[in-house]
Amino acid sequence: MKKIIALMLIMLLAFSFAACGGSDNGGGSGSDGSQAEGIFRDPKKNPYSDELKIAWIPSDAPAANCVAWGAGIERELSYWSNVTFNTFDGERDAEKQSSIIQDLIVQEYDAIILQPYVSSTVAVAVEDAEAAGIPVICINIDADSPHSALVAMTDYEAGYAIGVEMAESVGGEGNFVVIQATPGATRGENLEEGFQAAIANYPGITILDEQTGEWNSEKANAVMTDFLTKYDSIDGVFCHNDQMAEGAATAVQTAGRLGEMSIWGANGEAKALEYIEQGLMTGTVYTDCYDQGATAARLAMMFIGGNLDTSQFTQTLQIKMPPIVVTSENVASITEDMRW
Amino acid sequence: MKGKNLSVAQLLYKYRQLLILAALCIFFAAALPGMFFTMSNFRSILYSMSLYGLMICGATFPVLLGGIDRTVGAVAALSGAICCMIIVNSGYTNQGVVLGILAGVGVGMLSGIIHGVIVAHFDIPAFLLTLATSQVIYGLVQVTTGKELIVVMKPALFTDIGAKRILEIPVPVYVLLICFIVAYFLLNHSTYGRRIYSVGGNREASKLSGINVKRTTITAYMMSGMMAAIAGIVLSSMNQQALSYAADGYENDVLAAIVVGGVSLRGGAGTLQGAIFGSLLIGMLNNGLRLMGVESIYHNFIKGIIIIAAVAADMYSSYQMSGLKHRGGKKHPHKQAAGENQ
Repeated sequence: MKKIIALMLIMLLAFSFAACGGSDNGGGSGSDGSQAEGIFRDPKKNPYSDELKIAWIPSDAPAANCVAWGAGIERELSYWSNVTFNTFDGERDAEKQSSIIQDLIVQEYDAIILQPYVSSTVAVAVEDAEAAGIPVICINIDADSPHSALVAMTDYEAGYAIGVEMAESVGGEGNFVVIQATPGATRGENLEEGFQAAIANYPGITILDEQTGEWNSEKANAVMTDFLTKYDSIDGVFCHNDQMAEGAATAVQTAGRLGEMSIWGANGEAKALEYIEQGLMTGTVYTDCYDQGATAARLAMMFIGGNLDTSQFTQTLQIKMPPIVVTSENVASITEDMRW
Repeated sequence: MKGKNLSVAQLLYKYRQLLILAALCIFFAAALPGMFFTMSNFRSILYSMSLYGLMICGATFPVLLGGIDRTVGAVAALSGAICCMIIVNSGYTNQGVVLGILAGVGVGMLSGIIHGVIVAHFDIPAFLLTLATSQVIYGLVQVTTGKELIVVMKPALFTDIGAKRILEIPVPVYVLLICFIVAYFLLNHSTYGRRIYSVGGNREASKLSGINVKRTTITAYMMSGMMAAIAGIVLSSMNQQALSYAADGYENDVLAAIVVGGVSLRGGAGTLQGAIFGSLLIGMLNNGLRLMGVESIYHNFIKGIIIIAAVAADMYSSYQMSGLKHRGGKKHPHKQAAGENQ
């Protein structure tokens, strides 16, 4: 009798499962339902009490923005004594970043915060980490494979804002030059796209020339020196980062033509803000990198404790940091503790 | 008649590098009328090549010995970082600048001496040694700076080194000129220079003839370290900051310029002025391509092709001259010139 009851129970359960499956497949919301079911899992750990290991892999640890991101992450995670935080420098080598990620998978890290050096090169390693249940949060530059989240500076919007500011400052008529990032760099391309979109609204603006400064101050200095030799009238120079803008500013100052043109960078690092205060640079777009790093850290904690299976994501969630246009008029509002 | 033709050929051979530069100048001057062939443009070419030129003034010494110094970029970063840190710690005073420069140059010389001692006493291949130690030195810079940017925007005594002009010529060009004269004098008009060429040409024979090969090697690497350190200080002044990865990759451009300039990697052959020619060639190409508005993505390709053409022309003329020596039974132009001087 007991066997018959047990058999009936098993058959009832099997029927129930089959019926559930049937309704998912056959119902109008079938595909949504299966995806919703697929992206949930049981939380592995309590991020605020269990022992955690979180890694930060910048593309270039000594760079000012990487230092600030790292400080922001550390500041946030230091509130939780259960969290161990380690930094692994990618040393401007995407292959190295990939191999670090693979090592962290073996060491069973709980989350990885990554600033990819090359989006495509790290894609496979990021996918492997997500498949191993390690959420990957990218900073500024996205990996090519879907993953947990990206916390990015605005680039298209920053380029657009700079374009508008520069064009308005010359009344919609003038000659500009651009010192670009290393060819192929995503951030540089997006900044450029935004800048060009803004300039397209001002038919009186001419882009005289564009050359790469390879993100580098002294190379930008040489490029700007050549621009000054080539063009008698330059009304504005836009550089894809502050380091290059500083190099360009030095070249313009050396040539004694500082009053002739506006000089814009992007990122908002401390030295650029000082250049703006001294009148060597006109402006930049500032991002609070400490806050950006802290945001990435909070997201990492959230994904560790959440019940989302991020390896099933088909699209990366994205947070954009607000761009703040800084000129001599508002540079003082970026206080010392916000500078990086 | 034949003799007259030969002397023209010899003349062309002797000044082949200048002729290549002149050809390039004529091309760019024709393509960029009123823009390339101006004082201000040559000033900017010299300014942008000054850092490489400074490193070349030192790095040529070990190459002439048959060695190599791949640490020039790392030493520049280290000396720049030390100089900037001292200036910051001194409260941006002029005394701090002087002390910083002396310490920076001293660190460069020390690095060179250590490399020279290891190469001379332990017979470790210089390429491998300096490849490894450049990583060590960059690591040291990161430790020293705490991986942070050291910004030095004052005093003027420091910032003027990289940015000021005297008689319309940027200060780094004067620094290069002084270093070039010192290095040129050492290599061409001193016993030490003759020892360098001798050791580079035949180490064993030099040893047997009483030359202190070890001391010569150590001094050569010391010169390389010192010049790299000066370049590092100029670089940090230009940028008004010290970065832990400053001058990364410069060693490749420096060695490329030295080789393009006809200095043999086997040692014993080549001149400092040839190496500087290599640097000028690359600097002029960069400048000319930018002024022509050639897109950056094509620069490396075009530069590579032109450098190959320049080296090929140089090698071909050398080959032709050696052929003339055999066919005409004449002395080699260098030997003949030496004979005439006697």
